[in-house]
Amino acid sequence: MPTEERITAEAAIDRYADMVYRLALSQMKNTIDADDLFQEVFVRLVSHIRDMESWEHVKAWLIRVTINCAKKHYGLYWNKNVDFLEEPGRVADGCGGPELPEEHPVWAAVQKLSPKYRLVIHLYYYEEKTVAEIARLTGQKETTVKSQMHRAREMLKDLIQEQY
Amino acid sequence: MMDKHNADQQITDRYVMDRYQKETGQIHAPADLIRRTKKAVRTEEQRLASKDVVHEAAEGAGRSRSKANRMAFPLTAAAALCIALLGISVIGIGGRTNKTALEETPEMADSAAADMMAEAAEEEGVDASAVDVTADRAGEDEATNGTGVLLGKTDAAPQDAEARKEPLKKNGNTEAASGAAADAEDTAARTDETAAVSTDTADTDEVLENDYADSAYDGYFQVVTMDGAPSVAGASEWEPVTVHGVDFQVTCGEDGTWCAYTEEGSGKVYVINTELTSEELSREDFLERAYELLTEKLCQ
Repeated sequence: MPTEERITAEAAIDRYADMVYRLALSQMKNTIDADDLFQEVFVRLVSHIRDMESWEHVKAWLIRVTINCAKKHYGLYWNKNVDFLEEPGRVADGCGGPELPEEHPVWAAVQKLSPKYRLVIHLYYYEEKTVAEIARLTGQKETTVKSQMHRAREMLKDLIQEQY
Repeated sequence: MMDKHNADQQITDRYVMDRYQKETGQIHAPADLIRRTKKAVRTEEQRLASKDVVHEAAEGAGRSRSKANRMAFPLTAAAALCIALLGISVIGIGGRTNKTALEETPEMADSAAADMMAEAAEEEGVDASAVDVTADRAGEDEATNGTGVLLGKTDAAPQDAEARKEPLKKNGNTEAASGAAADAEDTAARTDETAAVSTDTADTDEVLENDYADSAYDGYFQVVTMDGAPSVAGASEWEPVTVHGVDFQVTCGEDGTWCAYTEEGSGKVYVINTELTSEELSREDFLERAYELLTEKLCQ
């Protein structure tokens, strides 16, 4: 029986880098902020690593902290009032080069939604979390999450139909 | 017709979900970012480790002091016993006429010495336990090799810590298993995950709350207390709207974001801002949320 990998911050990066990066990118308006958020989350993990009891615990913690740090970022005046010239989502393939958003129409459509709708869509569609889990992670009521999901789906459908 | 609509909706959702998963799966964290982050993590670990070393050095000084204290009490007790016995022998040499006195005196001396020994033992016991605690902490520090990184959960000190946590975990699982047996495992797993998330969110949420000490903030809405009505740049006229009996004044700023306020009887004004624009959120939904947040804030 293989022994489970020791829980360290570096091991967590190897395991969950893509998960955190995708969530950060779905929340931030540009890749620069997504990179900063990514780094901040894992540096914070260092001081909490001793409390982690399992990899599932680490995963849940990373999702929650990424969401909270993204919210904190949005509260800053600078980010509410400054527009960026860069496209909101840079899609990177395995070789590190960007791909055109046109090849990722659903991702591009999701990026046009507001942050809270992007969040519920990402957690529901990609992380496959239940409404109850999303409510816990975002600190909202389940009815609010359901309402957000419904509205997000409607808006997403319209956006995708516009593209085609 | 309704069934067909629902079926179409589900097909669309499934399609969107599948496409989103596929497209998102093609996104990977850049290698350079991972490299920089690992470097930052190692720097943070070293910083925490140096803090641990300073802490351990301070404890070490305390430990040697307590070791001296540990020896002091038995020595004191022994000295007291010697003095007592010396006193007895002097009394004994001085006068042998009263047999009762001779019989009583050694017993009294013994009991006095015994009391002193008991007191010394008590204090020694207290110190010993204090030393053991610091020794355990040293063991745990050894387990982390002074780097702040737990080397393994097989060492004794971490095992003890894990064992202490076990009863709490079992209680949680017992409560979770009080429902149907078929749901017990799932519920327990979710309970553990929820507890883990809840524990950690306390820490992360505390950081966020400190940033907005005078306002309530839920990520996209902000409730601020002011002494007068706010001024919103480029806004149209304030429009009065009543929601669940609360009179709001609502407007839309030049950036398209909603803003509303309501006045309390005492003159205090609660202002609700959002980063969401009128295109993303209807006025009714905005005011509904504003009412919810206001109610939460007033109930705190």
